[in-house]
Amino acid sequence: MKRRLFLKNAAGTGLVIGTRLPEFCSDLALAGPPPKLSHVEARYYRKLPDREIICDLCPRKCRLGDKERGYCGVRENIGGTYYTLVYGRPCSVNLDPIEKKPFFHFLPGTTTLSVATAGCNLNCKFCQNWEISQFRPEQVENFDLPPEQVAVQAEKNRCSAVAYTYTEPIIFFEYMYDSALEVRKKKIRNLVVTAGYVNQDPLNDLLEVVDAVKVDLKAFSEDFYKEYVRGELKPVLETIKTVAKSRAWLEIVYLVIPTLNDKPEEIRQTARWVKNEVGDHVPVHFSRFQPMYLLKNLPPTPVSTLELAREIALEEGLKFVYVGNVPGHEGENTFCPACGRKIIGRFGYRIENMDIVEGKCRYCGHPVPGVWS
Amino acid sequence: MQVLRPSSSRRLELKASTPPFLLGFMATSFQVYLLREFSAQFYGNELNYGFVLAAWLLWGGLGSLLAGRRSRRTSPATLALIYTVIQILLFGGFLFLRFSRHLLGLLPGEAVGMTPALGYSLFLSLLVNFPLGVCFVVNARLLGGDSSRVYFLESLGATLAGVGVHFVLIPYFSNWTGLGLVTLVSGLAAVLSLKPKRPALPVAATILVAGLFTAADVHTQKLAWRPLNLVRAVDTRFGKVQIFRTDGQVTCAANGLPVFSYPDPASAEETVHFAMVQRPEMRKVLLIGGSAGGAAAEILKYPLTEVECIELDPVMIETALEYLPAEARKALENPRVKLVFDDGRRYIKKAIPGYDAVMVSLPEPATAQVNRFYTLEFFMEVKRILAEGGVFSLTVASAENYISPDLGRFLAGLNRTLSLVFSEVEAVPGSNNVFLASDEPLSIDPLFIAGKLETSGVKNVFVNREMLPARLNPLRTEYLKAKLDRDDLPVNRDFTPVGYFFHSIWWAAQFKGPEAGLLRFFAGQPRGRILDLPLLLFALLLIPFAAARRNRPSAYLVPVAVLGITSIVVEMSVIMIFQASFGYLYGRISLLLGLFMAGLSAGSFIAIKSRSNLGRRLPAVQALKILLLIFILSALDRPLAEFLPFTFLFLEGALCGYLFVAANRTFQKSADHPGAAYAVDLLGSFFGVLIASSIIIPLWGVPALTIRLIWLNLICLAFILVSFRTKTA
Repeated sequence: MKRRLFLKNAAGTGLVIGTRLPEFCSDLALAGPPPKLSHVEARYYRKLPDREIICDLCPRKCRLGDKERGYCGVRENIGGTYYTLVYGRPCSVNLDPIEKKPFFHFLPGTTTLSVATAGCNLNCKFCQNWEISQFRPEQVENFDLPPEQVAVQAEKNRCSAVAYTYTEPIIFFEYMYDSALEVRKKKIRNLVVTAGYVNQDPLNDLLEVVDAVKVDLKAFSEDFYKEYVRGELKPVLETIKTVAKSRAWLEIVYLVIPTLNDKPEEIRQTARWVKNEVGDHVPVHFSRFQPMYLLKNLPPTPVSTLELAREIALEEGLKFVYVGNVPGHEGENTFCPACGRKIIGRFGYRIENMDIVEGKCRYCGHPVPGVWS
Repeated sequence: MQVLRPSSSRRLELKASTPPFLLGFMATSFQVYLLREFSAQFYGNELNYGFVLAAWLLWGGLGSLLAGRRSRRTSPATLALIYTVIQILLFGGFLFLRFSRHLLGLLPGEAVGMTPALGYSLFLSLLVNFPLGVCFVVNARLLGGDSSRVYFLESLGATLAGVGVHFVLIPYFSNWTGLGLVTLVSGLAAVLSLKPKRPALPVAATILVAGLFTAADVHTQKLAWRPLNLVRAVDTRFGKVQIFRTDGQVTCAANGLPVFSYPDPASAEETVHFAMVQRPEMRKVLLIGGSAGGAAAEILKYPLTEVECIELDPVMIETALEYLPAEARKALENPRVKLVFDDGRRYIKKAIPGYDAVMVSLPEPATAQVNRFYTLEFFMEVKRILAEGGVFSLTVASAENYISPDLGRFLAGLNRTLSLVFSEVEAVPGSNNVFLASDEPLSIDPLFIAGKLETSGVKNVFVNREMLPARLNPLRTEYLKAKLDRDDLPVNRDFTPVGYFFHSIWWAAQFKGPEAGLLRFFAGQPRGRILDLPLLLFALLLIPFAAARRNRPSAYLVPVAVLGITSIVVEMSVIMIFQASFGYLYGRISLLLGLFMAGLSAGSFIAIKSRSNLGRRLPAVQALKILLLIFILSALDRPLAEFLPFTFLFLEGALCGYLFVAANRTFQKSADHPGAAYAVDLLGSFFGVLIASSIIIPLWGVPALTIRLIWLNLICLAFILVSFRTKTA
């Protein structure tokens, strides 16, 4: 097939993937009509009389009648059995630097295979992937990428990890879980980029198969979660605590949105909570908001606000606090908490120097928490 | 019923003529300001403009229609009271609009969908233009039922308002102060001419409303935008400019949409550097928009480059510069920067070829006005002034990780339009897509771009060796390329501005309402179903009227409905033609609108003064209207002399004014409903706006629509010939 014609066909199904593109895509059946939605039985639900079910995946606990879908739009009750419609049907597959997720203490400078399906169990007014998160799977262009192929593509593209990301990966739990098992077989890591709005049982099961979790803590107030995210803060905090207790690596991102969650007091509360509940070693990223989706008319976060947030968190005793989305900023670098030297120099997604040897500061030998190899 | 009769005394005649004159003056002034405030409050895209205008016409028409049956007993005092009530409602309505986000439960800065915009436009127009529609009938009753005379005086008032508001008030006063002045003048004139028994109340109300408009403007804006820190708001000729300060960062917004934030190196860098590295030396660059946001400063990083920055609104730039830090101002004062205030399209038409790069950094093509910079004709004009191998670039919002079918259609349409003009087109993926076009090879290889930047000694934060490999990963570039590679989409042209329609679909998809589905439905319809079927139905509908032995009175209103549709569509089309040919020139666009109203006044005046049987002249006037449409159609595909659009609109206005009076007089011989013709005129315009501006013009273009208008008017002519000459009422 000619390259151009190939790409055209690929566009029809929504996938063009890989640095060695033609080889990569030849593995997948791209030409022809888009694949149908999957009908794989979902996990974490209870059957009720009259073909009703209750979904136990996330705190919404959707109670659904026959032919109804959960809030996430990707799980449907068909005749009293609950199905996931996006198993093996991602709509977005990309290669990203791990720093973009961001993970700063997990295999720096490596590449991840990012996988996402349509749907989300939240509705953030500032979502940067609203075209997939706020749509149902039949409204987007999906392609056929079963779990074993996720692992194959990650290996072929020399990825250090597969990241389940962009939308809320909890809603494609079964696909993520099974992919993670396949990916592990190839000795590749699994990363979850989540808002943390999940119940404890599925979370604990997931933590058995993934290596790192980045939680988006969107604010430190229930009001914010209720109004701008359509969720709740409490379960997210529980998620963070559970991840911190597990063997998976944890990082936290706090997207600072002007006027909405940028008050110094709220930042201080967040930092205190992180220190007291999960530990001062957990990296916290204060990221710059760029006008997106329904908040397109808000200004971006001033860099000075991010600097203030970082200062407050350091004051509160957190050891690894970063400024996100501001390439070249001093706050992108990792400093040794003992000797204060720059031990990882970053410029955007690029690692400029890496002075951690066997998990310790090259200069003073102080252990630096993270996954470095 | 008390009737104001014009007497031999000039003073009395003036007094009797003043209230209908004021009606036109107020209606037009209020409409202009409503559109300006509405677009500053809601997202100013073409569909929303259409909603406001359509809602305005709808309620005006309904007010006139319903009042005709109920207003037989009236007096000047009643009219004075209604005028006063309208002014109070006006202030309430504008206050309601200003705090709309709070009432809708939206954040300041949160985008608003079409449904709330439609709801708001319907509600505000109901508050203000419904009673104004009622006033038309009340005025007619006070003039002994002579609605033609009211129509003439009303259009005369509208002409004065059009000229006065655009040339005197808007350039010198804020929207609210302007409204205060309009309400003060019209309120006092109403009291003086109508002489109510207790004048104190309307006078007090007028002064109060005028005072509130003037005094509350700044304070209410600051309050409405809280918690954002609004430090300055200026109403310029082109819209509302607002400056927000968040910590040390300055954001400049035009009509509620951020134009730029400073500092924001990401936007400025991507606007400039992808294009700048394409050729070994870029000596002469033209930058349309974006100069104050940092793009000019980025170009200055290349030591040999001189840049001409074209900005439309001098007040916006001057206001923004007052708040920007010294380094931003310094860039624009650099001797290598030439800042010109002009319409970019107009500037390019006159420019001498030889530019190494032309860059467009404008808001999204969501309106016909901005869409002019994304059309085939514009790209051809750019190509004319580019030096050999010169590079053109433009930036549009996109999505980083997934291109939806709606976004893909917009982007692919743009790509196709560019590809028809330039042999090489490349697109940079990301949350904004940078399109590059040239007739010589282009490269978006990250190593090539990074190498070139380093050779030139240019240091960037976002467009550099560190960031580019992720953004320009082959996975992402090839994915975007595959999405853009479509040849089944219509080309975005000046007179078929389909780009803004596709953009509107993508925009509407953000809101979980029915809007996007409705727009997608129209986009998928064959031309005949939307354009030809209604014409056929219209012709079939007229058959029973034509076949009847005696004319029903409503038959005489058919030409008025047709003129309502035709006049508004011609008005919109001619403005679009003018903007494409001569640029967005505030004064001349205002003059165009004023001339249409003047034409209406002149035409209706001639008809009123005519002693002959106006009904007999209807076919000739209708035929002239068709001739004018044919003339406009023939002017679409050739260079236009600048006087022609002015002539078109004046003649269209004059023919419509004459035809209205002729048809209305004939109608009134058989029916006592002074508001019916006016209502039908407005309702016809309502359909014209709703269907033409929102759907037909962008999807099928001005030429196709003009041809259908000719057919519509031909059907109407045939109907006039059959019904009006051979039968009696």
